[in-house]
Amino acid sequence: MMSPNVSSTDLSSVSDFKVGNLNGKWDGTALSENAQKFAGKIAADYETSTKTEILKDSRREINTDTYQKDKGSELFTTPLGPARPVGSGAFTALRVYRGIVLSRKVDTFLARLVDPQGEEPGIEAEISISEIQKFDRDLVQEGAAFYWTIGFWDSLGGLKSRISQIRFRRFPEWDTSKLEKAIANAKSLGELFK
Amino acid sequence: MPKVLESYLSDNSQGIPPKDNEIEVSLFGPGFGESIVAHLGGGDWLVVDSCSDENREPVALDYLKKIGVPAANVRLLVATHWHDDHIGGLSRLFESTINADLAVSAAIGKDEFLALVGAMNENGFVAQTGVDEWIGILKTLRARKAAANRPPPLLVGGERLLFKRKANAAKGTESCDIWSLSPSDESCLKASSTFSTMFPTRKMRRVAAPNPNHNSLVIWVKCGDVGILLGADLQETGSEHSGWRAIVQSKKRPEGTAQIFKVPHHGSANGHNDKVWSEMLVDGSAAILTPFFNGSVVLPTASDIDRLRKLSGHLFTTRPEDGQKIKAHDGNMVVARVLKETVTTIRPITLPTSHVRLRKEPGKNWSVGLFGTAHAL
Amino acid sequence: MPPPDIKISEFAVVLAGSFTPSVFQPMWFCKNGLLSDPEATNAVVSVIHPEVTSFHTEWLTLNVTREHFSAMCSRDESLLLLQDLVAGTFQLFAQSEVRAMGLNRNFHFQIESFEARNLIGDILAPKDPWKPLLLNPALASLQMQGARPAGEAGTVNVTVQPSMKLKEAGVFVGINDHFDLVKEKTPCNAADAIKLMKLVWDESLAQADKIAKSIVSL
Repeated sequence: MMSPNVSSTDLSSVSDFKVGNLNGKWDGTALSENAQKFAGKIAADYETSTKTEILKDSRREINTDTYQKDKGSELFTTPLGPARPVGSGAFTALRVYRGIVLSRKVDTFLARLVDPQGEEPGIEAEISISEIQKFDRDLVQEGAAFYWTIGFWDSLGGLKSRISQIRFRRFPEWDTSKLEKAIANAKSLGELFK
Repeated sequence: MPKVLESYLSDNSQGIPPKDNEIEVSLFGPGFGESIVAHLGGGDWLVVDSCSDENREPVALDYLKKIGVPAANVRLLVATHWHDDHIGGLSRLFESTINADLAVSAAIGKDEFLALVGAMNENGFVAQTGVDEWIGILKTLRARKAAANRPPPLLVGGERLLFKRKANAAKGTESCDIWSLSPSDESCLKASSTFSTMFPTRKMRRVAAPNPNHNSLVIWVKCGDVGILLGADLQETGSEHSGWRAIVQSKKRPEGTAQIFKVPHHGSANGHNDKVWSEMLVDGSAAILTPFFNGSVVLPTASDIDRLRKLSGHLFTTRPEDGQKIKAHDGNMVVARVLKETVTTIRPITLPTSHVRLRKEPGKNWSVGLFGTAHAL
Repeated sequence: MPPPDIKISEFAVVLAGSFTPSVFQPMWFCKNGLLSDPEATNAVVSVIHPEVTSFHTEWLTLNVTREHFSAMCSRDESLLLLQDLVAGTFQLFAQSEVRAMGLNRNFHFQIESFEARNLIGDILAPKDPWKPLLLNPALASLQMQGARPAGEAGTVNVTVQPSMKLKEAGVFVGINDHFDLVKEKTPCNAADAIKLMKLVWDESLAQADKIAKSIVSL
């Protein structure tokens, strides 16, 4: 049987999804038709005297207050590499613990670790802060959640490395409308107790 | 000293149910949490709190199944407070005990707690044991209310009669009353206030349990001439209007003394009140307790055990014996090595469930069964 | 016999809907607590534009056009971080329209020899019907589609082709676990799409693993 349908989320034929080098070496296989056309126009226009206009246009759309200031001016002036690093290996997970921080001391923290696959019993462990990525250390507070992934990384070149990675989970701030909804719902939930 | 206990049952009797007129108090732990399953005679059962075994099943359900008792025979289910270690599996337990009234602190039925649970439930990121259980309980309450087949939960603030059964000579069952002795009104107000301060206003994390130990439900059971005092995690607060002092001084609490005492707060000094022992318990009472581990905090301490030994006639715990090393491990050698290299200290939190069981037939003394790592102190 | 080695594995969450690409800059993710400051600062940005945004960090590759949001992870130890990032992003854009969701798993297997690889191709696409029509017919790419389990709209699409990333005899297997999220002509919102994503995440990964390993073990 043959199916004519093409999945709109299957980008496997464009798995490299390269935006391409907008200094002219356009690959352009990956983008939607519209994006391709537009990006192509950018590439073409950049080579002309309208590059300043393009920079102005693009800056209008970007909130440069939030975008890193020292990169803002480099958007279209430096060669742009592939959109993602080329895959270079495969990881085999042996265990992925989900952890919760129970308490924090200066140099260590106590955590409860649970294996969601249920293969191993839960454990409580004291871990040194030095085991945590520097950019995650501010997150190590009571109640914070993290993953501890242990496994092997096999590089394309055949090198095998043991990986032990503790990464703290990152969430956005609360949506106040949800908080208001919870308060409003509390009244109706209270009826269940009457 | 009256002989509260006589004999020790052998291990393989764990699956034998109590006789119809036999009172039973079973305490489950250690590891993470505790649960009490009690037979009130006449096929009526009480369950206080819930914890899960190493297979993540509520231990109370597992035990009832083991002894061939339908969950529908549970008449009263009590959630003494909202600490994770007392409500693991509670929602499933509540769903299964279709004929049980649910008794909770009055603070649970208030807007502050319900808003907090609702807000935490909106956080789709972190699974929070306590919140998940309450969400499950609310779902069951909603279904039961829609079906109009069960009364609403019993909201406890102070002394309240939770269960009453008259004696039935024909059936050979004694009368049975179950009372709550706490939390006090003051504790409920404080708990509500605490819940409202915990309401999220910033980046969400797991909500650490506030100190609801002052909001614990203490249960008093009187079946015939048998008295049982289940102390939950109630601590001494220093106030006349809350904690153990309020209970001891209350003129409204039921009269009588208990032969069996579930020691509060894992035997800690904070949970101790001399007058509980002198005024609410018989001399030579049997005391039972579960351990608590949290990093460097281990309860009961050696001095707690000394104190409890002097006060009780018999002391039993579900804690592994000292010297009985239970190691945290991982079945995978590589993972085990990584854990060993990375952590400073490690211990398992889900240990095989242990069980202290006390049974008494009318006119006879209590007998005790010790299963798993449970032992006498 | 064990299946051939996986040399490269990747996973992507792709949402088809309506998006504003220029919003999804590295510092936006940082400001909203979804990426750390060093990750956002050191992100390699390809383009940030009203029509397309593309950047990558050590573990994440993000590409957003007006019609597609794609977050890809080429390091499996960071898969759960990817889930959190996508869920967190669309917690902030909960009402964004989403017409479809794809959980895309790609593998590049190292086959022991060209002969063994050709054998896989011969089983998947017998050459006899092609021999009268083409000189030296060979399988360049095969795509198969299967229905979803009952109750879920969508398809499971599998692509098999020679690997372009492995120098020797390699096979690429891509599994697109596609969910149609339009009901009665109405797309769902991102919040519901994310709920579905979390629900099917583990099962989708396990299914993809099974499909891919079965194919290369033929």
